[in-house]
Amino acid sequence: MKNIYKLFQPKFFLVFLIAFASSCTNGFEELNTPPTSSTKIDAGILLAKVQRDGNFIQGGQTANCTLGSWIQYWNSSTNLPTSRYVFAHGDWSAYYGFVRNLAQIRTDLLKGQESTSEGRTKLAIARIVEIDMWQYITDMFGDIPFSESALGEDHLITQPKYDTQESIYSQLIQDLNTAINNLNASDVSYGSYDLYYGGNVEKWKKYANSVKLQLGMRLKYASPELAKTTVTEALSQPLIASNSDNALVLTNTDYTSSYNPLLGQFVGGSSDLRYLAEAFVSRLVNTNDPRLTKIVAPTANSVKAGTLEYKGKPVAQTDDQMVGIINDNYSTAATTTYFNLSYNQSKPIPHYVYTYAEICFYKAEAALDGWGGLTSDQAEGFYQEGIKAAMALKPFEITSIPQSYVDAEFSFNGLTSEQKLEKIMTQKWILFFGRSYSAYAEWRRTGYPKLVPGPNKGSTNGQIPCRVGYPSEESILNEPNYLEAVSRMSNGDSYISKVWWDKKAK
Amino acid sequence: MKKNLNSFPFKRVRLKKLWLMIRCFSLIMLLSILHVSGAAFSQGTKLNISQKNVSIAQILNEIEKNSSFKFLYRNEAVNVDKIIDINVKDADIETVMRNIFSEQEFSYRIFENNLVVISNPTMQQKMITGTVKDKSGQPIPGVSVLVKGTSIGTITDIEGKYTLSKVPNDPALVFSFVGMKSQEISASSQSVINVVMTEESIGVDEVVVTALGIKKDAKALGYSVSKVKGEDVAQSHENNVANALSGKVSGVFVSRTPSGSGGSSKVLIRGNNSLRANSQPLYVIDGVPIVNLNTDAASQWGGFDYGDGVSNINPEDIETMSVLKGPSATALYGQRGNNGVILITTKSGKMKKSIGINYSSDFSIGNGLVLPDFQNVYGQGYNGDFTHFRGGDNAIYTMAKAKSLGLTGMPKASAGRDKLTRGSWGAKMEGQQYEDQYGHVLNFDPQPNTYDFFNPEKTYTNNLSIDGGTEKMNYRFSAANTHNDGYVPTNKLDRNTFNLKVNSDLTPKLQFEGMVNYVNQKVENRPRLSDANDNPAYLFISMPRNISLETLKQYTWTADEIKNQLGFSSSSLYAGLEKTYATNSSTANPYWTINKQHNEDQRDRIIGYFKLSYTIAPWLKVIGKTGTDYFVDERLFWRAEGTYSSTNKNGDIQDYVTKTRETNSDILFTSNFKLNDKIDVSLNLGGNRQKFSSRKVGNSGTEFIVPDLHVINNVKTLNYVFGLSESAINSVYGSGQVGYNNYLFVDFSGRNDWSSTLPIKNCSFFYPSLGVSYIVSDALKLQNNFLSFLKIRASVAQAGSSGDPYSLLGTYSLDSYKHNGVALGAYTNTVVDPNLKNELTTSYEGGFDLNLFKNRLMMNFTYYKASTKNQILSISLPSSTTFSSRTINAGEIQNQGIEFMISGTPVKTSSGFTWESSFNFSRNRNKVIELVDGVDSYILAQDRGVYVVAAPGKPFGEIYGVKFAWIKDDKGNRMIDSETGLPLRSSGFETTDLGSALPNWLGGFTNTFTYKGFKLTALIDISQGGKVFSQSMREEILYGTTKKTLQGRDGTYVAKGVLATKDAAGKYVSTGERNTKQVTAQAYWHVVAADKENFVSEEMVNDLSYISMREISLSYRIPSRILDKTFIRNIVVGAYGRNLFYFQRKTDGFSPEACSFNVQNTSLGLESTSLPLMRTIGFNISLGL
Repeated sequence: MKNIYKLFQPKFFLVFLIAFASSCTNGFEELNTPPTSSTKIDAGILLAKVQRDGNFIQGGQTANCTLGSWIQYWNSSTNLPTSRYVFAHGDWSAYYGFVRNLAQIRTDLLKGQESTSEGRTKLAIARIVEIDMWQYITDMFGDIPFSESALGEDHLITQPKYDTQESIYSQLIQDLNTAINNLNASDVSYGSYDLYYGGNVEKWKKYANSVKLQLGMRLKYASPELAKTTVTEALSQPLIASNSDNALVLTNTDYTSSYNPLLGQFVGGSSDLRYLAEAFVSRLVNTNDPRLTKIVAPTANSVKAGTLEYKGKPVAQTDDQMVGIINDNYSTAATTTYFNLSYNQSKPIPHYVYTYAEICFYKAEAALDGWGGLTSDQAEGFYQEGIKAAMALKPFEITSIPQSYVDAEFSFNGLTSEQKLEKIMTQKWILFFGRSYSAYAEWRRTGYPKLVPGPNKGSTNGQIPCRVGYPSEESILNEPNYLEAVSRMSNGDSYISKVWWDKKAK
Repeated sequence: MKKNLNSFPFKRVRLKKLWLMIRCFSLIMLLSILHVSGAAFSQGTKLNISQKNVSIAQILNEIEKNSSFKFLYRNEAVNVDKIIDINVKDADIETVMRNIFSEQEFSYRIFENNLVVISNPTMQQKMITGTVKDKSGQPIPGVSVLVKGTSIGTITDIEGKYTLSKVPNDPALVFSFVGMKSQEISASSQSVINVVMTEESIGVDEVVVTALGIKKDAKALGYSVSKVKGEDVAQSHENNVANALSGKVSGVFVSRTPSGSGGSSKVLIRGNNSLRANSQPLYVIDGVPIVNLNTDAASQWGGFDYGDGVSNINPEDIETMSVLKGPSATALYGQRGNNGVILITTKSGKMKKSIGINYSSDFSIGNGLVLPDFQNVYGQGYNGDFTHFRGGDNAIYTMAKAKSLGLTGMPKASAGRDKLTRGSWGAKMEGQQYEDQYGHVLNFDPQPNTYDFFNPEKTYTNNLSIDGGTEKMNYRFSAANTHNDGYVPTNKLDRNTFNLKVNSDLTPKLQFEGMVNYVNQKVENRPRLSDANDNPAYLFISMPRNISLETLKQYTWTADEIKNQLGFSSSSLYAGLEKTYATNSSTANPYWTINKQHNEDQRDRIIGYFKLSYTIAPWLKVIGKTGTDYFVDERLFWRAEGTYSSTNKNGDIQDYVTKTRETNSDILFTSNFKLNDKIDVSLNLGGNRQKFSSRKVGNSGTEFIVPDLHVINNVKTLNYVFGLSESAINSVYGSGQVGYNNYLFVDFSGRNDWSSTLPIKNCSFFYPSLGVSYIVSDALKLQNNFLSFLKIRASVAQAGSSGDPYSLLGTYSLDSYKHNGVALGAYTNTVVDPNLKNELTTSYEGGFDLNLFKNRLMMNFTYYKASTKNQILSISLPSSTTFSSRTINAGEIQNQGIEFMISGTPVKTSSGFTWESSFNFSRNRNKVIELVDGVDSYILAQDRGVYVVAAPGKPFGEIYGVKFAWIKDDKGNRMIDSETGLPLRSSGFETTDLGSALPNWLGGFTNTFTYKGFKLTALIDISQGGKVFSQSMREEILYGTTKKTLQGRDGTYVAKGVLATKDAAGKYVSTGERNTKQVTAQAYWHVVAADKENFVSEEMVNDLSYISMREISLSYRIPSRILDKTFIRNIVVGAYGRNLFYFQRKTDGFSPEACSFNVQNTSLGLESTSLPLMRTIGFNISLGL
């Protein structure tokens, strides 16, 4: 019996325990190191992904069927309630995800290299793209979490407050100025990871100033002073000066995910979400726009009948109007260009991010206002230059514009300033086909082109929505801040509350 | 059902296979027996004997003299006086024996030392008779009397008398009777044995298996352990063992996915402890923890249920299942026992003279228990009419235009994706002619039988087991085959399990035990679940009520159909493409799905262990054990070119292999000794190493190059599939029990874990347990006719847990695709915490066990309270932080509840009739105490604007709808717009609390009736309370396919509510007046649900309460006297029904207990076009040889 006591003496237990414990944590650290991912990565890999995804998102089926249908390029009114002005939540997680990956470059990968040649310019470029993303988010939703967001893991605020759009814009302009100052051609850049410019810092300078021009112009009706200063500053610096300076993402047809987003919609999307809207098609038809056949397909029934007809669907129809709709009487996007796999195989259509034509149209607008040393008589020239630049883009590549079109569209003769603006914005609208978010922002800013809402009352009493609804997760996970932001809006978190810069009487 | 009964119970092919199996494995068994008992004897010794007129005894003497053989026999057993002649030359011992005993029945065994033991079975026969009475002297009829280790047995007659013939020498008789303590009496030379049987006190002298497989007296436990007998598991005839627990054990909630055979189950013991994806218990088979992962589970957007780990276990191999509920019971399993442990003890071989063979065969057939409540009156269209018209000029007009022009022609249907064209809001189906959307002229007839697409589910199970043993070793081998033809056509499962278990005393001190369980399972075409185009239920639920299966059976487009179709964009159609009835990209034709899509998965799994125990001293034993669970899953999925929703309509494929391995090695010292007369002590001390790894490798590809060649190398784009996860836990533990005077017991344990998933500085954590049980009735000598037994018990315990691997580092990962040669990547959207520590559950439980009226009535009661702190959570963050979740130690979840069970034997007559009854009840209250600062709620699950969250102060699993809400007046009446007669909805989305997804209480009511060889058991399973949001209902309402939408189609629908008018400010104000304005049903229901995202969430909430007739089984054991003269020991035939009907059900069109699309918390409270639960009827036969 004595043995028993011996065996259960604490000493014995201790020896046993130590013997076991000594090898207890052997190899644990290695075992628990994530096997399929890495804690360090080239910053360019993140940049490239945001450059692609952050822009392709604008041309996808979802974008086209919501904002793209409000701005009346597309019509999915038979299918999606949002396109008939029925309230829905927007999805902003994708955009905040883009911001996360860019913020990671400054909060982790290149942290501490803000003033070295290894980090400075790369950080500036990432920051410029980040500013783009922020502008998209606030333009869509209005007030958004900004100053308490994208701080990196170490400074995470789990329920970020919403900043006013006004404060966000002024901060973005400041941040952009800093970034521009940090662009240094002799620094290390991203090289081929930079999908826009292959790491060319001079082009980034042009791009950054062009972004500044856009930020400034957006404020024109809400904060004219700041707008004017910003625009004037931007115009005094090098801007995107020709189509060879365009920011764009090349596409290909090797992989599904690198398709031009419009082609992606054709290949993977729903066949009944491919119809274009009446206003857009009529505009192209009525002006004999040479781009018509490269954008619009003739209706299936007209092809059958042998007389080609281009006809868009009326938007936001009521249930009773939609019951009898016969799709084959309406036009989809052109099946010879955007909606054509083999065309894209031989001549891939890039996704444009920022083109020279936009600069021309902004300059024309600035000229009308006499900003940045430009005078109103210069407006027409910039406007015409813009149309030419737009027509030269893929898939149009029109170098000689039909004289009839020039005669009908190129002249500002006898027009009021407002009418000139309308012409500029209408051309910009055509240019923005495939970039629904940009077009929607510019339409809200200026009210051009004049769009007639569809008859369905939806949640807006028959008005085209003025913004996108916050996502439902905000009301569950960030409730206090969400409610605070909503209380600041004239009509709550609805489609009819306007964002701050949307001030122009239309 | 009818057509398949004639194949019952065997399929010829399967039978052949089975015999092959039997042969192969008999051979293996024989080899193993020979190895143990037939060690090399002198086979080579040659004998020469030639004698006449000598007695056998003389011959044997002669041989003994001239060889090394020695003979051992009993004179009365072997007639050695018999005079014989013998003449053998160069004969081996066997030949000699056959010669000597040629005219006698005899048997012999030759041992290693050439000792030959001779016996004579016929001479051993003797007869034993006797009477069995109870304590009061009343005879007991129907008592089973069995000669131990043989098939010889009988039952007592009305007078309690029995007669056993052909009894071997030195028999041990086993007397058993329901409710009575079994007795074993050795009857060396007696021929009359009278027995007095005493009532059994169930739960008192019962031995239960507790943590680490340590057997303990139930009465000594400070916590409750529920035991389920293997026969009760087998009786449920569930393919997944876990389902058999439903209603049988208090505090255990079982639900399942309606995913066919081979699917997984969700077992929840005492509620959700953890917010993480899965709160399921740990399954331990003979001490080997098995991997119960449910990998690649379905999500809200479809997927398959590939089954879980426990579904691979053959129910027939189970001897008992012990359900260890609270941390007190499971503390020794460490973190993995956090959600309870289910210990499965498999059957072992029994010592017998010859081998015991058991064969059973089972056939069952099932069909949908609850189907959607379809309407069969109105067909495709809108506003009570067709949408289009084919004019005499062959042109297509809108119906309105055709009417206004007075055209002649025929109504025409259109395809579409919305309620306008593909809803069933059209004309009455009265057989009138119309042209369907594909251009076929048909009669407009209802199609009430769309669910005839599905097949009755048929399951064939064959089981064979062989067992046997000697005093020194025993073995059991079983082979089982299950074949299942699923409910969804082309879905089938084949599962073969082989189990071999051997126990052997290698030396008197050294024992060996080993088990190998091999499972081979192949499943083809598992049904797709939830909101996915290739889930047939998803299509049927909204399909226009006039589209026939015949139309769909022609599942590719023809040139004519393309020419005449309406609604599709003709340019995207071509002959041979999958023909769907709706136009959106995510749609399918179920016939295409079953013919041109294919998924298959194969699992090869080995669960095995070996164990050596060495008795160091009579009171001290050391056990070494290592066990592994290793399985390889091969999965293949392809969609043929032409699949409408596949990449570029050119098909796609996935092909990958996952290898998963968990190894556990243990060393355990156990000791039992008496300290003095009054104090018993047992102590255990051990260590465990656990390693887990899972590695997935394969490829996915899109767009087939060569048509009809569906292999991974035949694709335009190839992409890799890769995953790897590894973890390890090392532990030391100790436990013990001190018993005082056999009425007071103190249990204690402690365990320390080192887990690889935590940072090194936090990776070690300790947790103890302590339990006390006090048998009041024994201690105070209170036993009398009323009180038989009373025990009170209490325990407190902690259990730790350490979370998933790789939660400490934030990492960047690469996209699987490059863009123009440029690599793309992203940072994780989860914020990690490099300082994570273990979570800790602290629990208290207390209760009593009370038996009354000589143990005829038994009760037990448990109250428990458990709280889990420092949970390792992945908390959802608002995307506006730029992250989507955060891993952190946070929160406290509390579960408290009661479990109650009452059982007894209300009737027991002298004629042998017994009625046993038991009822269990449990109620768990779950509360989220806190999460973490700055976090208001934790999202468990979500689907189309419905969120299931855990929020402080609320129960776990509260359902919220973030969609439109009714506008109500102060009294809660719905307000109706007095102008339109339609209810008013909020203009924006509102958050509505829709109730808790968890039930209030659970119950199970089991009744068993036995009479002679008959046994009838019925189980009623009860669950009350709890809500589910039904996405199916939203579809049915939107598309007008459900009966609910019938009323008022003609414009006489009156929405319930009070009228409201606009005040000066344009706000609606209630007039208090009841609405009487008539509207069309279509107008009303489209306010409720206007499209997939646009609905009033409270209208789709269903109450989950049910009372289900879960099981009825009837079996008959053919009396042994009929079998006496045959080689068959016993025959039991039976019939059973499972999920037969509901006494109560409140759900609309689906079964409440089987509506989730996975077994994780991510589907809690959410139903989404589920396939029906099967109502099954089966027959079985089992034979013992």
